[in-house]
Amino acid sequence: MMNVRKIVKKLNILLFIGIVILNSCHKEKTTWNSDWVTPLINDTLSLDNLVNDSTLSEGMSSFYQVDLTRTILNLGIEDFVSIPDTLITHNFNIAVPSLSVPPGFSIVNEIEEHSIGNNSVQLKKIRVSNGVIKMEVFNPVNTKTFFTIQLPGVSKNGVEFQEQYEVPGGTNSNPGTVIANLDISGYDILLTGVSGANYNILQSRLLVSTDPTGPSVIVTSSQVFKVNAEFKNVKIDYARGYFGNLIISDTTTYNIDFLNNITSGSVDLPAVNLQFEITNGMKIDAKALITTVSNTNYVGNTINLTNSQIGVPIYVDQATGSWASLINSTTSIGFDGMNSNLETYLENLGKSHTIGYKLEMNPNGNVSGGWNEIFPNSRLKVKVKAQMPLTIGADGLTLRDTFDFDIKQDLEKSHVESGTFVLNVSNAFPMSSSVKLYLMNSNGAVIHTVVGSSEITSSLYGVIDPIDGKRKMNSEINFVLTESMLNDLENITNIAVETQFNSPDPATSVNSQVLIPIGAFIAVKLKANLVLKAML
Amino acid sequence: MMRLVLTIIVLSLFSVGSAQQLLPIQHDTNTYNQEFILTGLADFGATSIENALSSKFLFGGNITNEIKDNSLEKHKGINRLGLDITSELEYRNMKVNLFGKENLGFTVKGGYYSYMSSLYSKDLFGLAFYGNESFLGENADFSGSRFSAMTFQKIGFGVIDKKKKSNVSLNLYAISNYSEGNVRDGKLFQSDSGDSVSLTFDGEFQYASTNTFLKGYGVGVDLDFRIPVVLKEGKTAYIQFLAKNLGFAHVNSTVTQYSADTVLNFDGFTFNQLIGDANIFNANSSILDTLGIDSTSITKIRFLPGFIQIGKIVDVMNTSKLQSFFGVRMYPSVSYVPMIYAGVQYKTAKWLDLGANVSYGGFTTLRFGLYSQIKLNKFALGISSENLVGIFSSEGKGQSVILRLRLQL
Repeated sequence: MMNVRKIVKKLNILLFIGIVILNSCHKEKTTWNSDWVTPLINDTLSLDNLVNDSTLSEGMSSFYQVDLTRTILNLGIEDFVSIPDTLITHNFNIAVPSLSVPPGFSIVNEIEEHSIGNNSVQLKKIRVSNGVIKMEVFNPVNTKTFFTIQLPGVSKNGVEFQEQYEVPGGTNSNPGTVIANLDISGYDILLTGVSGANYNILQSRLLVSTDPTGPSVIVTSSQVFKVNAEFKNVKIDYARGYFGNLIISDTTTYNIDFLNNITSGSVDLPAVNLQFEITNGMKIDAKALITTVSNTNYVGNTINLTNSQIGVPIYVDQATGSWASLINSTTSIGFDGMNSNLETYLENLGKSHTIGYKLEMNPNGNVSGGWNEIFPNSRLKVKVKAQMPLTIGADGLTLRDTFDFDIKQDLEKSHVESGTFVLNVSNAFPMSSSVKLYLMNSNGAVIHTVVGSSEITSSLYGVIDPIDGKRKMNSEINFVLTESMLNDLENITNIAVETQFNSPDPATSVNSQVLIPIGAFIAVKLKANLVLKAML
Repeated sequence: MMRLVLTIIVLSLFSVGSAQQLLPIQHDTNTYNQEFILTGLADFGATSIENALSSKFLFGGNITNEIKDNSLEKHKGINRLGLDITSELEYRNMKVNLFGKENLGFTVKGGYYSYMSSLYSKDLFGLAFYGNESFLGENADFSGSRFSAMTFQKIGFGVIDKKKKSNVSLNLYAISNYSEGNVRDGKLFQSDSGDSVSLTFDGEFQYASTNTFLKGYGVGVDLDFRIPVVLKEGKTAYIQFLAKNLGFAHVNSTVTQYSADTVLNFDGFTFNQLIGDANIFNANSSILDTLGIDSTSITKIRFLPGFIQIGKIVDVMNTSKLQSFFGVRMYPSVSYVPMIYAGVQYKTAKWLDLGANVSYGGFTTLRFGLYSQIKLNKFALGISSENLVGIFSSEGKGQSVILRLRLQL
């Protein structure tokens, strides 16, 4: 019995020790490593989207041509003439103190004239493309009355504007009222007034008839027959008159963000022909002036475009013909290597461009006798056009862009321990590039640098693919992510991607201008080889 | 080794289990007033995973390539593993005459049960422990893989035949964890270069997704019928029909089910998908929708992971030094194949029984076991393992320890 008691006692001690040992054992986590491969990116970049986009053309040769056309100014009738919302009030009362008016009797009022707009634009005729008149008719007599509203000079397809309303009876203080909205789209409006020699004048006339089936009614001079006509949201597509000495001038700065990423290097561009083309579809004389053109690059170097026509007024003729036979006038200003420093200007790779211009309409005043005309299809446009072969020489041209990064992993749980990003590239562009990644902390300090194992080699070092006839070069670039990099993931808030471009000639290895072949592309396949450390 | 032995002992304390183990249920016709039975089990079994690997999940540490390779070699197309951790305390009162009948006492029991079983393909093991790099250029097939896991607590009340010790109890269950998964068709193909991947998946995964402790309830029975069989020599052998936790569980908390029947091909994103306003990270559709995975909430009624065991048991009253026991045990789970077992008990002294057994089936294949039982007046302490190789060898496939403590008053 004593032996058994000893056994039980020892067993209890063993159990206690076991618990202690087990508790200490559980502090260590179960871990193992596994190797995972996953595709990430599969895409092909080319210039196809820029062809037929007024940027590139394929032309007759096997290389791309820059055929750039961009409209930088485009003005229409809405930029010169507008009809503000206008309220016309036509009041009428009889001239005698009191009058007994039999049933069906009409009282005709004289035409009244109303000014619209302001006198900076002297409109003689307009056509409404879209708009509404809100009519309010007020009857002060105690029997129903018929109002006929006429707008002389306002017509559609030769028919003058006329509307009739049956207005219930009322009093002077509380008149019978009718309200109606009338669509006046498509109406021509002559604004020359009763005399026919005026401008900005709208006419109206009012006829009031008593009820032919009603009683006679006493009308006094204190009773006012009233019509309000409110022109609302009127848009026009034709205007004739004198549109004034309108001056449009501005100095604008626009940025090319992409070029803001350049950190070093240079490009070599071929001779360029750049044209500014001004087309005038309005029957208005104009005068254009380019006051300044300059750009500033990534190191702050500013280049002014110089040319004999910069700062000198250029007169733009008005269009000829009318409506369907309208013919635009065209005026061009050309810049090339002979008459300007355009090549130097472009090779400066300006990230910030400033253009100053001034456009003056009717620079000589009203010399047309008030016969400026703008038709529905009239536009005043300024276009910039450039033609050159798409030829670029890159010499260490380095672009760097920084992205936010917010991927964390808990090193106390399953996590990626190390890995490699493998970039497989098929390059049909005659340029090479090398890529570096900078892993940065919140202070902008570079913690780690990931350098690609090799460069993306220029297609000029490759061979012609018999399938598509394109010269291409395959490259495989590895970006190794070490354990220490991944351990620092917690501190990485930004990644800067730096790419350096070169255009080496395979014969000399010297960077030189290269023509970009039609159909050039760069096919990219990026995959990740990751070592996953499982922790349980 | 010492650590292993200690762990098994300690585990058995943590998981004192029900009596489905081979530590023989002994038929005892002696009468006594009250009995406390504390029984327990920690049993991990596998057809292919060696202890060198599974023990890392218990003790921690790094699973080296050598450990993984050794287990991978043992794998066949489809493999099994299972874990059964249970504990149960039962009180029997045979002093009272239940329902006024002199031969009936009552029994009250309660316990904790955790059960997990899995069928899985060799490729699924490879994918989990090696990653997909080793499958480049070929299919990783995990079709037919499934798993289920449930943790629950039990409280039961029943009647017991004072002499035969046959008893039946009605139990209520509290479900505290539930999850289940099934892959009817699953294949992952990756090109030689790893730049494209194709996933075929038809299956679902569901789990009780609320944070509450009680995620459902259940009802079931325990049965223990002992049938005397008269042998030729006039001796009597006792055949036991034992059923534990036979019943249903209703998981009434939210069960989230993810299901998919889809084929996904992926060879990388385009730049437009990664940058710009229309990038996939800004898309309104969820990643599950993109992958064709349906997410729904369901309620679930399912069988409890109970078992049935039929076999000859050891008779305490038998004066023979050597007695045999044998039988078969079955779980309602495709991951568990019916296990047959047989063994002998040798009475070395009045206070000490020793036994040995062999079994085949269950979560694993062939296993050898040993047990001992010490009897001290009112106390009886039994310690057993159904997997002797598993205790002493890192090449074994599983661990098993059973402990039973009885106090008769």
